Amino acid sequence: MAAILSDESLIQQAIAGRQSAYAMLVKRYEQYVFTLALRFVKNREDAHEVAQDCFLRAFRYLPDFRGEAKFTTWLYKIVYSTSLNHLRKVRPDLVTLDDDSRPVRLPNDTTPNAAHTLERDDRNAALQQGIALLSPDDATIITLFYLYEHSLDEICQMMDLTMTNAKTKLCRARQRLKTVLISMNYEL
Amino acid sequence: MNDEIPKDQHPKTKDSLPKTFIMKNNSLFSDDLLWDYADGFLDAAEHQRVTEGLRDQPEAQSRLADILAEKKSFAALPLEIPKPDFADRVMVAWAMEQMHAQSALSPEKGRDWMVLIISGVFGLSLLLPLVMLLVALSNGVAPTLLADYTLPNVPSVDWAGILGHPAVYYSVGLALTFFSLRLLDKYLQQKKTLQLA
Repeated sequence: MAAILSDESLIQQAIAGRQSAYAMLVKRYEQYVFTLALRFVKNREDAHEVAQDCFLRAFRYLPDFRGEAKFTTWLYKIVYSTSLNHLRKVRPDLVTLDDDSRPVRLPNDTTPNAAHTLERDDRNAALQQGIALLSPDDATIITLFYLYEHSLDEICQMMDLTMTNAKTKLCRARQRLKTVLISMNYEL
Repeated sequence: MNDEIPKDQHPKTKDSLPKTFIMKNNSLFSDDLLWDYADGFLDAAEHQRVTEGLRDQPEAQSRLADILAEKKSFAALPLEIPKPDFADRVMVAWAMEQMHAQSALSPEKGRDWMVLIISGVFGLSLLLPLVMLLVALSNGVAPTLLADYTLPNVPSVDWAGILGHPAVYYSVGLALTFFSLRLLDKYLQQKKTLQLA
């Protein structure tokens, strides 16, 4: 059985010009990058475009990756800035992805296909819809912490937050998700 | 923390309201504390204190069980999967970007050499008369005599002899072969790019 190459080894090979190493990095992180891009841009087509741009940017700047943080931490920062650039094209006034003035889009006022008819057992679909209705920052912090199991330290590094801020943000995001789910007539 | 959610967005059901449990030592057992406990944010001493406190609090235990279930459902969320050909598309885009970068570099490099050669020849043509003048002066030719200086006759060139030389035929043939191969290479590269795209 072929040994699984570490990120560091793949990165070194890619920098040395080996195309297969680039391909392996894409395969390894395509879901990670795509999921985060989708959390930010909220649209699958745009998320594909953003995710592709992220990989191209990551490859361009790969020699600058010093390995001081995890590769995913570095990749997250690229996803964040690429998504922000993409969203700014659509909304030039956009400054931040943390929309505190309007943190959630409740399905009954903005989403025509509100999931009122969700079945109780369709937990994942409900959760995904709920997360899609959160602000990009809220959706991302929940994804990073609970889905990708990044530690709070890593999240602080990724999102440039203090420990207290990260905890508060996570707590708020959870509460808002709960609010959204309840408005969709769904409770965990 | 709950104040952050606008009132009209607050959950209306009894279960979803934040709960607080009083521990034996009168400290609060809030939802936030239980979440911090479940998420592993408490330090060892605090964690121990909550663990001990939970033993006598069946209601808090049940709330903690709910929180753990909720946490589990977050972790069980399926990852978003991009289109099956996503990785291939990225690789094609990357290959094209690299090719463009290379092709953008190489002609420029060629042009650089051309510019250097042309500048060199131009510079020499300007310097040469000056050098010749200095040499003439150093040989004792007075500047006033320069007007009488006669240029040597330009030697006649036997063009027919030169063009008829086998070395010229050979060089022209070699150059033509080289440029044909270069053209073919460009064509094949272009074709490969289009196929990949």
